[in-house]
Amino acid sequence: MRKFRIFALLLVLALVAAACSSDSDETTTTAGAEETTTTAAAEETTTTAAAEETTTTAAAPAELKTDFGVDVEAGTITVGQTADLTGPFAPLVTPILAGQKLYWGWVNANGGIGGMEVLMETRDTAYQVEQHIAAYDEIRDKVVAISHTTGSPQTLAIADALEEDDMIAVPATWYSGWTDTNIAPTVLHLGAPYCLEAMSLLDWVSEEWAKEGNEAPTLAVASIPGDFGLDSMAGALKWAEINGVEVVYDGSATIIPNQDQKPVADAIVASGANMVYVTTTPGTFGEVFGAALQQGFVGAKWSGAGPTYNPAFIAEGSAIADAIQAMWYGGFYAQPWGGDSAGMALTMQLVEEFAPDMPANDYVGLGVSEAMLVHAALQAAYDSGDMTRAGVNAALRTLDNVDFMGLAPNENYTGSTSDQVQRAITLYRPSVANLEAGGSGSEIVANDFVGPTALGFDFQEACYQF
Amino acid sequence: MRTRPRLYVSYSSEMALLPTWTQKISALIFFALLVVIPFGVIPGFGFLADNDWMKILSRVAIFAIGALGLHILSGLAGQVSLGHAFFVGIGAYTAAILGGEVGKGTWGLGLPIWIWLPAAAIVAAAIGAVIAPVAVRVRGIYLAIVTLGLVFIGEWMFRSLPFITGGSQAGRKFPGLEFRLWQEEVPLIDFTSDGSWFGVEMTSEAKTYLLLLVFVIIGVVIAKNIQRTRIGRAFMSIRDRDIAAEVMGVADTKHKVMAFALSSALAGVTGALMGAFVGRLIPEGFSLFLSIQFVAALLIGGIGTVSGTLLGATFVIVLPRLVQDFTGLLASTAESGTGVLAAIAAFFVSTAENDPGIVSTLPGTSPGLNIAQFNLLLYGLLLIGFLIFEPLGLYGIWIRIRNYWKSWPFTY
Amino acid sequence: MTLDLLVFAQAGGQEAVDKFANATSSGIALGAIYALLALGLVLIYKATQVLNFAHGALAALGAFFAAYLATVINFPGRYVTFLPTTVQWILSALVAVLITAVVGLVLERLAIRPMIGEPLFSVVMITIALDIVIRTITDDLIGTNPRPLGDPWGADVVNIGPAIVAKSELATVAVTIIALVGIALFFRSRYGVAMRATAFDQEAAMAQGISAGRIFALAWAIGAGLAAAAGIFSSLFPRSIGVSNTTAFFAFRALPAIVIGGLDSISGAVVGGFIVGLAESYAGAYFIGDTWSFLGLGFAGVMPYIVMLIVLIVRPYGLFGTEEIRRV
Repeated sequence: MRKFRIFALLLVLALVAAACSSDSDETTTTAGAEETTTTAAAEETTTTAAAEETTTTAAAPAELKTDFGVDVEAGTITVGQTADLTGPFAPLVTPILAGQKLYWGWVNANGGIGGMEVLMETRDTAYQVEQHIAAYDEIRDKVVAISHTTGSPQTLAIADALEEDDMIAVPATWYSGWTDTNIAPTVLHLGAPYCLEAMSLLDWVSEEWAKEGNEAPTLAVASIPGDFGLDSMAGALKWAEINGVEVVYDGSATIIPNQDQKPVADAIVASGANMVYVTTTPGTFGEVFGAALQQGFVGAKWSGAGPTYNPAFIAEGSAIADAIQAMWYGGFYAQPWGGDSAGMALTMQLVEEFAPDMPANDYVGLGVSEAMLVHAALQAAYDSGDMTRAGVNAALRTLDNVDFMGLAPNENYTGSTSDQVQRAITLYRPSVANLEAGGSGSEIVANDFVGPTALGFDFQEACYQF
Repeated sequence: MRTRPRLYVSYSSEMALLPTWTQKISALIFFALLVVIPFGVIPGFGFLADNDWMKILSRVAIFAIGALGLHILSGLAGQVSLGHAFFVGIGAYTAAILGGEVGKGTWGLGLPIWIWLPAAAIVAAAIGAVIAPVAVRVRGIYLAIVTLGLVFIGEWMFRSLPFITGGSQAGRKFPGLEFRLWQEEVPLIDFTSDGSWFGVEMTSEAKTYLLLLVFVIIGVVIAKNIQRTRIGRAFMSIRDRDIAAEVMGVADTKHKVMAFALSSALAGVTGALMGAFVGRLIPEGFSLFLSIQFVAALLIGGIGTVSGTLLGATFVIVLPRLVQDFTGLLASTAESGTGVLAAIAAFFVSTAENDPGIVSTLPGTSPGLNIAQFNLLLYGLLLIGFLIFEPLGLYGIWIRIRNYWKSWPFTY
Repeated sequence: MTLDLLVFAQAGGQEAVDKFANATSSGIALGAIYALLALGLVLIYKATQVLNFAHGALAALGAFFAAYLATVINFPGRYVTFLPTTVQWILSALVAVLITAVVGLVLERLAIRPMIGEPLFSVVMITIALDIVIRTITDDLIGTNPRPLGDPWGADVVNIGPAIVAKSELATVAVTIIALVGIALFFRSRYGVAMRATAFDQEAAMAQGISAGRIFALAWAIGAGLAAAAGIFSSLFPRSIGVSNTTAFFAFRALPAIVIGGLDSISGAVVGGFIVGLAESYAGAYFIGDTWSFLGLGFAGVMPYIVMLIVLIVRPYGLFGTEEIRRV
C-alpha cells in the first residue's frame, strides 16, 4: 500500500508535468536582458519615456545617493510589483506584467538607466488584502519603486507603509483618489480616473445618440460595490446632473459577483433607458448584458469603465458578439493593441521579437506605460544624483509632462490636484473584423479624447471617498 | 523516578498540564527560544529576526489563536465547522466599531485595546452561542455545509453594513496595536513604532510579535486547561460517542453550544488582532478560503492536539512562503546556474524558446504556468501528498519519532 | 410559497404575470444547472461518502475542454462535416464530458483511493487541495480571456407563453432531465445495483463479490462527467460569456441544493437544485426596490442558504435524505 502511495504521487506529478508541458514546445523567445542585438525600434526611437530629461549616460553624476533597490556596484536597479497573478484579475494583470517585462528588457538592452540594469521583483497577491500586505513587506527593502500594484483596497492597505518608505507606486486601478495627494501621497495616477472617464465616455455616447437624430437620452447605471464601481458611478451620475439627463435606473453597487445577475438586467430593461453605463467585471457584465438581450432589450447604447469590457465578448463563438459590436462604446486609459503611436509601435516590435506567441491584448500597452512612468521617475532621479526612494519621489514630483510616446496621454505630477488630473481617454468600438485580422478587437475611434463635461468639471477631490 | 510518556503514577500527574519533567523542560526551552527569536541570537535562524519574517511569525501567532478555537470545536467536541471565518469577521468588526476611528461613513468609538479585544471575544462568543442550537441539530457533512452557509450569509451581512465594514471591495481601517488607558494622545505602550523597551532597542515588528506571542500562550493555556476540566472531558465524550455521552448524563446540546461559544471567542480574538495587525481589511477577506485554512491547519497538524494545532497553523502560514522561495530558487538556478541542480531546475523551468517546462519565466501570456500559479499548484500537491502519506498530520510524525526512541535501542 | 406568488402575480395584471413567468423560467433554467451539479455531488457522496469540493474545478475543466474542442480544433466536427452544426457541437460537448469523466477516474485512483478508511475530513481536505490543483491548471489552460463555447444556440430565444426563454436554457433543462433518467436507469443496471449495494453496506457488498474500488471509480467518473455537463451549461448565454476563472465558483452555489434534497438522495438533488434555482430567482425578482432595501446588497445570493436552514430545522437530513441510524 505504502509503495503504491508513493507511486501514486509520482504519477500525479508526472501527469501534471505532462499536462503543462504539452503545449510548451511552441516557439517562444525570451526578452532577456542578455540579448545584445539592438532592435530596429530601438534605433528608430530616440525618445524614451523621459523625453524631457537627458538620457545619455555621459551626464552621470559622480556621486549617486542610494538606499534601497539600487546597487551601483552590481549595476542593478530593482523595481517591485505586487500583482494579482492567481486571483480574479490575473487575466488582466498577466499581460500588464508581460508588457513591463518587455519594456524593461528593452531599456536594459539600450544601456539601462545610467548603465544599470533594471530587474523586476514580482510577488503574487491573489487580490487578497492580507496577502498584498505580506507581499509588500517581503519586497519593501529590496526595491526602489513599485511599478505595479493591483487593486484599490489592496493598494490603500499598503498606502501608509508606502508613505513611510517614501516609495512611489503605480496602481493598476483608476480610482480618482490617486490624483488627490491627501489620500495616498506616493501612489501615482496614470490615466483618467473612473469618475472622469465616465464623463468623457458619456459625452461621446450622448453625442453619438444625438447624431442619430434622437431626442434627449435617458440613462441607466449599474455597478459592483467598491471604489471601482462607485467612483465610476459617481462620475456617471454627476454627468447626468450636469447635462440634465434623467437617470431612470440607479443600480450602483447592485452587481454582486458569483450571483444571478438577472434582477439587475430586469431593472435596466424595465427602465427603458437609451444609454446604459455599467461598471463591473467582464464576467458579470456578460451576464447582465445577456439577460437584457434575452428580453429583447436592443437599441440602447452601452458603455462602462475600461476593465468592464473583454474581447471575449466578440470572440469566435460568443453569443453576444453581434449585439456587443452594435451597442458597446468603449473607453480605455491607454492606446489599445495596434494603436498608431510610436509607443505602440515599440510595443509591437518587442512583442514580435520576444513574445511572438502572445495573443493580442489591450493590457500589454498599459503595462508598458506603467513601466515608462517608473522609468521616467528613475531617470530623473538618476540625473539629479539621488536615487534613494525619497529622491525618486522628489524627482518625479518635478515632472510636469511625462511623455509615453503616445501610448498614454501625457501626465503631470506637479501642481494642484486639479492640474494633475488626467481627463483624456482613448475611445474605441468593438470590431470583429479587427479581431479576425489578429488584433485585440478594439478599433480606435479617437486618441486623447476629452469630453466637454470632463473638461469643464472642477476636480478638487476624489469622487468616491473610502 | 524516570518519567515516561503515558505512564502516570498518580491522578494529579495525569491531570497536570505538563506531566513529565522532560515535557516541562522542553516546553520551557521552546518558550525561551520563541522569546529570543526577535533578537536574532539563535544560530542558523537569525533570519527570523528580519522584519519580513517577524511579520510572518506574527501572522502565524494570530492565525494560531483562531486555530486553537477551531481545535476546541472540532478537535475536542468533534463538530467540524467551515464557518470559522464568519466568527473571525464578527470579532474583527466588533473591534473596528469599538476601537476604530470614525471614517467617511464608517462608525468608530476609538476605545482602547483593553475594551475592544475582550469585546471582540465576547460578541463573537455570544453570536456563536445564538447560532449553535440551530447548528447542532445536524451532524457531519451536513454541519459542514450549514456552517459554510454561515460564511456566505456573513459575506452578505458584511457587504450590506457599509457603516461598519466600509463596504464590499472598499474596507475600512482598524484600531492599531497600541495600549492606552483611555483616549489619551500618546499611547502608554505603542507596538507599532520602533523604540526601546527596558533599554533594549526593538523594532515595531519585534514588539508586535512579542505581544502576539503572549496572546498565543494565553490561548494555549486556555485550550490545554479546557482539555483537563469536566467540560473538556464532556466535549471529548461527545466527540467519541455522543449518544453514549448523553446516556452517561453529559448534556449534548449544552456542551455543543459551549464549544461553539468558546471556539468563536478565540476566532473573534483572531479577527480583532488580524484587523489591528493588517490595518485595513475588506469584507471579502472573511471568506470560505479563510475557513478552509483553519481546517487545513487542524488536519495537517494532527486533529485533537494542541501542539498539532500550533504546528499546523505554522505550516499553513509558512508553507506558501517556503514554496515561493523554492520556486524563486528554481527559476534563478535554471536561468543562471550550473551543475546538477541547474539541470534539474531546467527540467521544470522554461527560460528560452523551444524549452519545455512547467513554469515559464517568459513574458506573461506564453505557454506554461507563471511562477505564482506554479506556487499554488505545488501548494495543492504538497497538501495532497501530505494527507495521503501522513493522515495523522505532523503530530503523527512526532508520535512515530517518539515511539522509536521510547524503546531505543530495541526498535522493531 | 409559489402559490402565493402566483396569486400575487395575477392580482398585478399582465405585467406582473410576465414578471412572474420570466422569474420562473429563469429560475428553472438556473435550477437545472444546480441540479446537474447536485446530481454529481450526490452520486459521489452516495458511493464514497466524500463531499467533493473539487466539483467546481472539474466543471470548469469540462467547460474548457468543450470550448477547446468546439472552437479551436473542431473535434470531432472536422471528421463528421456532413452532420448539422448543432450535432457537431453536441458531439464536442459529449467528448468533453467523457474526457472529464476520465479525469475523475484518474483522480479517484490517485488521490481518493489511498484515503479509504481515513478520517472523513482528511478526504474532504484532499478534494479541497485537488480543487486548488485543477483550478490552477484550468485557469492556465483557459488563458487570458474567457473562452466562449461556440454553442449553436447563440442568443436565440423562444417565447413560451409570457416567458422569454433562451434556447440554451431549454437545452439545459433537457439535458438535466436526460441525466436524471439516465441515472435512474443506471441504478437498475448491474453496476447501478452494485453501487447501491456498496452505498448501503460496503462490507456486505464486498462479500457478495462486488469490487468496491471499481464502484468508487465509476461514481467519480460519472460525477465528474455530470460536473462537466453543468460547467458547459453554466458557461452559455445568458448565464455567461464563456468559461473563465470564475466558472469554478458556480459549484458552491449548488451546495444548499444537495442539503435541501438530502445528501444521499438522487431525486432529492434534482428537487433541491430546482428549489434553489427558483428561490434565488424569485428573491432576485421580488425583493428589489426601496421597500426591500433593508435586505442589503445581494440578498438573492443567500436566499438558498436561508431556505436550506429552514429545511434543516424541520428535517435535519434534508427532504429526501435517509436519517442516519445512530447507535451507541
